[in-house]
Amino acid sequence: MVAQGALVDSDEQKQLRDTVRRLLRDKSPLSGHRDAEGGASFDRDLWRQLAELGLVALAVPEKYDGLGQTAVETGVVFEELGRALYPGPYLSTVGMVIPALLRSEDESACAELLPSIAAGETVAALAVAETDGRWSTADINTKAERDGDRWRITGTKDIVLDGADADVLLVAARSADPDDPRVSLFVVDGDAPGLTSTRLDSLDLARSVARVSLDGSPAWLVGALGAAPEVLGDVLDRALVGLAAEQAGGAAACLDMSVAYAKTREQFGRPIGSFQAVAHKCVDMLHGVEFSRACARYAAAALAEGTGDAREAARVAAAYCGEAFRSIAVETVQVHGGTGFTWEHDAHLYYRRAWSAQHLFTRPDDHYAAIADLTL
Amino acid sequence: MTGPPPISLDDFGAEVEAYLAAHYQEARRAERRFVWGEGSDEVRVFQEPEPEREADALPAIRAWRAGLSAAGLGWITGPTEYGGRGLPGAYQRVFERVARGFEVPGDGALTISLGMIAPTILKHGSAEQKKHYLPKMYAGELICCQLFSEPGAGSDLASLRTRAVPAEDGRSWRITGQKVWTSGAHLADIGEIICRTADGPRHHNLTAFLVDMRAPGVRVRPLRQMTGGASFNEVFLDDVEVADTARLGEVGEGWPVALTTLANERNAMGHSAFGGAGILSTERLAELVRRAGAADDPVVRRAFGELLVRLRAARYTQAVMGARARAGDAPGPEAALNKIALSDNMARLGEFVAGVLGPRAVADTGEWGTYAWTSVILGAPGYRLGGGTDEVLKNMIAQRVLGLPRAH
Repeated sequence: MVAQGALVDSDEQKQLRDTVRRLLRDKSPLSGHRDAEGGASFDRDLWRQLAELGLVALAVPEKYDGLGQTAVETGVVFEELGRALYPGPYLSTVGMVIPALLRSEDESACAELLPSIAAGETVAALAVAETDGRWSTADINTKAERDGDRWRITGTKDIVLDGADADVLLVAARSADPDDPRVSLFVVDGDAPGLTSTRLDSLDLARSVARVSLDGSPAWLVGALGAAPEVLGDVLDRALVGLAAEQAGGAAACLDMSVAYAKTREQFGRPIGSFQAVAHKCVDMLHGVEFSRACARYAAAALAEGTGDAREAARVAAAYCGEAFRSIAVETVQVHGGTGFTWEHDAHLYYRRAWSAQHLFTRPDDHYAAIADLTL
Repeated sequence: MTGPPPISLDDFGAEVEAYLAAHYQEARRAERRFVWGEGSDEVRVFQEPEPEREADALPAIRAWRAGLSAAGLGWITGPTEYGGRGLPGAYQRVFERVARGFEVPGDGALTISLGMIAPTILKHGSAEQKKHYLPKMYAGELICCQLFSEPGAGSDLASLRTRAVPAEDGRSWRITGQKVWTSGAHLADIGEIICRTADGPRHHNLTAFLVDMRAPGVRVRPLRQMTGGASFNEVFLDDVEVADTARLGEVGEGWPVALTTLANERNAMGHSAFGGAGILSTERLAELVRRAGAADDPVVRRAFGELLVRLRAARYTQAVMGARARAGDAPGPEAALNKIALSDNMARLGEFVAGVLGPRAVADTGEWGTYAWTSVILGAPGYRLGGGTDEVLKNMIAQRVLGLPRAH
């Protein structure tokens, strides 16, 4: 179990929360997503502004120009970004690339990349999954061939978050040497020769997803050869916990929207929120929001403290928050009635995000299986 | 609280340790670890002790409380003017941690008395009442039960019909009526009772009293529930006299008194041992799956994972709400969500276990740790009803947390 103090916002964390919430309310309106239709890239100026506030550098150690904070602080940010459906590369950068670099324990790669990532100058993405989109190092076919002190990568990566906007990619690839086919992480420049990234149609209009093809693209090994399975196992925990906080924030936005509507929308001469069938839906949403926030918070604190139950807590948060957000988003459309089914209404933006988020990285059932694997 | 506490946490821990070591045996570690097939396989869902065992246990519980009170450990966080020690909550947690290392009777049987009604008296009682009742309650001299529900007043508690009529001189009242679902009424010395003292208006026509459970005219009858056990009672009151000095709060203002107790009840229920993972260790559940030969069945593994997610989520939420409370945010009506999660998890647990047991849930084959689980199946409906039905709690949350209009 984690320490009690880590489970409630400190004054600094409250301030962080308010700052992010206000900034996004002003600078990242939901209407922008509808116009983008999943096609346009994110606003680099706003990204740099988030970085200037230290949001990207939060969990980067001080020796790499970061703020030396933990998953608890980034969790606060994730929740607020999720509430606003912020479309920039926070999950890929803070939830995936930074943990992958740190966990690789590659001093020179960290020193070279982390300061500019933390400053918002370099946008980085992590490419693991291939054709089926699942986070599995066992199924990796992308090949890495040694070329002097460098490597050359060939293969296709799919469902790469922010892959089309990345200045730098971390790519999981398998050594081409048939006697030593281990999977490792490599750094590839976004404009490397042989690299093509294609933005894919995204269910979530606020999430940029790409296919990245590499054809002999030059690359540098990050961390130890063959370390990727272990490194990426830990990175997945962190990505899932960041995503869980995002989901809790999105669910909270759905709840607020639904309750506000239930209070004002009248049918049969009274507000629809006065009907138990609607009121109880709203209470079920609140239930999901409160428990999601607690799961995400607990899991973040467990990662920060390195407790023995951290991996289980990450999977619990992923499974609970994923399911809760999806069902809350579904009911949000229902509470809003026909209005909620229109393109102009915001409900579908959250509905799309919720479905997409629950199926990011892996199938929902995989979380249950992973929890069973830890105990049974 | 003014000034720093007069004793450090470490010194206090040492004081508790010294007291308990002088009076109780150290808990044997091995006993606290689960070993399949060892000891009782009882899965206890309600407090349903056999009458003799219960009667035997009572003196030990009273002695435990009396000893603690004499040693200044009876009410660690209570105000000193009412016999408390006046220390912050952190000291209570030190006490609980140290006490886990000893074989003590504990306060499990006093949840209603000390967890629900003592805080109600502290909030609504007069100074004289607090001085009179609270030290005795914490010393185990007075055990209190809760006389609220009636056959005709369940979810709509405010429609209750037990009457209290004032004597002409105004110094006493006479109570007549019937209460139901009263846990521990047969063991209690006093009961917090809500009575109708006027015809209207609603919510301003009720008055709370502390009635002597041994007064003439009080009759307690055990109520057998669908589990087969009897953890509740029916209480009949026939012209029972109660002094006006035992009135809690103003005449006609019993409703807010009742609400305080109910809020404490939901809090106590949501935080009860198996609100989260409890009632069982995860190991026991996992071992059941293994011994049923189902550990490799992907369907069972999925269901196991899903159940564990629910149980853990409830535990994490309790941890977060507990941390919030310690940071000074008093638990609001949203704490009722814990109770709703509890009843849901009980139902899920029953479904999962029955699914693993299969025909061994049908009859007791004598195999350790199998049929014993049927207490969960039989007890689960009680959790959806107790402490406010899930439905009535949702109405309350809709209005008081979400600000929705009164529901129809």
